[in-house]
Amino acid sequence: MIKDFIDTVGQLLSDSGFANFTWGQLLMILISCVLMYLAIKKQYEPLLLLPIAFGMLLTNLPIAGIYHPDIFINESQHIDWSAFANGEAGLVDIFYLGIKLGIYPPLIFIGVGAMTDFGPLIANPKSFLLGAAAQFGIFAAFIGALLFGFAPAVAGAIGIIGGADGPTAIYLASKLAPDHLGAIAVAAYSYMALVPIIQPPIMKLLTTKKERSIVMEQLRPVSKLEKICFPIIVMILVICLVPDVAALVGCLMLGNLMKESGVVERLSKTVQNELMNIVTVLLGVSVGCTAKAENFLSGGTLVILGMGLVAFAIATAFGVLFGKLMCVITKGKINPLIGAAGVSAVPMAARVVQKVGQQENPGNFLLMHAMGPNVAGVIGSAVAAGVLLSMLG
Amino acid sequence: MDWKLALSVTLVGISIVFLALVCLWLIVQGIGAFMSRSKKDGGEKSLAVKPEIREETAAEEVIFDAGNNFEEELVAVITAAIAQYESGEFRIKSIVRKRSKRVEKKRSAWALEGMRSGIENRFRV
Repeated sequence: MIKDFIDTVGQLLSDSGFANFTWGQLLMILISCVLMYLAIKKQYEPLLLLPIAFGMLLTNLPIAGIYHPDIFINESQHIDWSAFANGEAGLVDIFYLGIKLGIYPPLIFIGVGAMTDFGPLIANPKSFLLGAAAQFGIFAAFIGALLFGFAPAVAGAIGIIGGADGPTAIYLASKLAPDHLGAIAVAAYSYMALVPIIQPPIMKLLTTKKERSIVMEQLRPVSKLEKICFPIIVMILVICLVPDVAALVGCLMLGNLMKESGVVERLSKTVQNELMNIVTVLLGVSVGCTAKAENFLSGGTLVILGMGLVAFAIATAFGVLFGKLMCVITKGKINPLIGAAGVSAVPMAARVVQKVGQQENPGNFLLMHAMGPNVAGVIGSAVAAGVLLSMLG
Repeated sequence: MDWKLALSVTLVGISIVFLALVCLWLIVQGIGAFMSRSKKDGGEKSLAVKPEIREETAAEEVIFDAGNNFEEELVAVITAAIAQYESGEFRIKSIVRKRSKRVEKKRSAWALEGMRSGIENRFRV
């Protein structure tokens, strides 16, 4: 009887997760704990980094079987629906359908649109140019990734990290490089959180003290009619030009129109809060679960992280340099620092501009001026994503 | 590495991004100019009725001051708080109240509100 007991316990232990851990899984658990520490203690983009890190922990526990990459990434290049019919699919496989089918990022964009005020951009439309200039980072990282030997589609997905826009990065990576989705999402959100550390040295290096001290004229008030017309015009123009991002841009502008029209306050509040929060949880956990040890622990992930940093730095540099050009053209009316806000990362990049500007001149308030290029960057990165999708997809 | 592909994607990508955003810039600029012009025209047309509106505004301002005399102070405190939040090096050394208005202390908020609505009703046509 005792022998049977020992055999049963031994069998249970050998079948348990403890006996099936690999070194890679242990390392991934350690990485997920570090990310959770950054999210909880340092509050680095906690809303997404925490569920991503938790998903990463969940997927790397042995024999849990909640995520099966082969259902989505296989030779047929199609979702293996039979796994869902047979009950083989785990919980996260069901969640992941929202990414694979391109549902979550547009839903997030509805909420982002409802929370975005395009007023500063409408008041100073020249900011569009700064938002465009900062997209150079995407293409620089794309070339860099090609140099490291990545396939063109994967290089495009890596490049979009430079757009500093999480949902766009996830949308593009799920279409062009599903194998690298976890690494790309982690890189995008980590660097967005690190904007206050990455940007200021570049901004200070490329500008003089005099340029940083420039006080800009107060923005004109924007009428409600302009704010209502804006999302409709942007949607028509961008979608006609780059139809591949119709879902993203359409949802962004739908959310904004809900907010600006003022007639659907209930819907606007729902997409800003409940919908956004629910989708954030599902998106974060699903993205985290794609980071399995076997595909995350590779040299490729390190290159992705490195190229992401390069993309952010180049985007910031081009934004500031274009700001300097506009400063010269307008005879000193534009503070070049606001160009750095052209990397989307809303509103973090604009806050960094405000802070760096105030270090030189405490009475200088650049926040609203920087919000213009900041939201222009969101539109710019969506357009860039559309181009990459149509050329490399 | 396929340099031809890299350069074509980069050139096409940057060109389309700039094209889209320059078009948006011009459209938004045009709409803004049109709106401000029509606003100006509207303003000139409504000059005839302006004196009447002014009277009403002045009366409303008096009422507003009586009920919310602390508003300026509140604005100053909020502005200082934002400045402090945005810049680590900014310090508030002192707050000087340059203008003060006496309000009868015995009057409660309810009484002020009643007075305000009473005056407001008298000015209503």
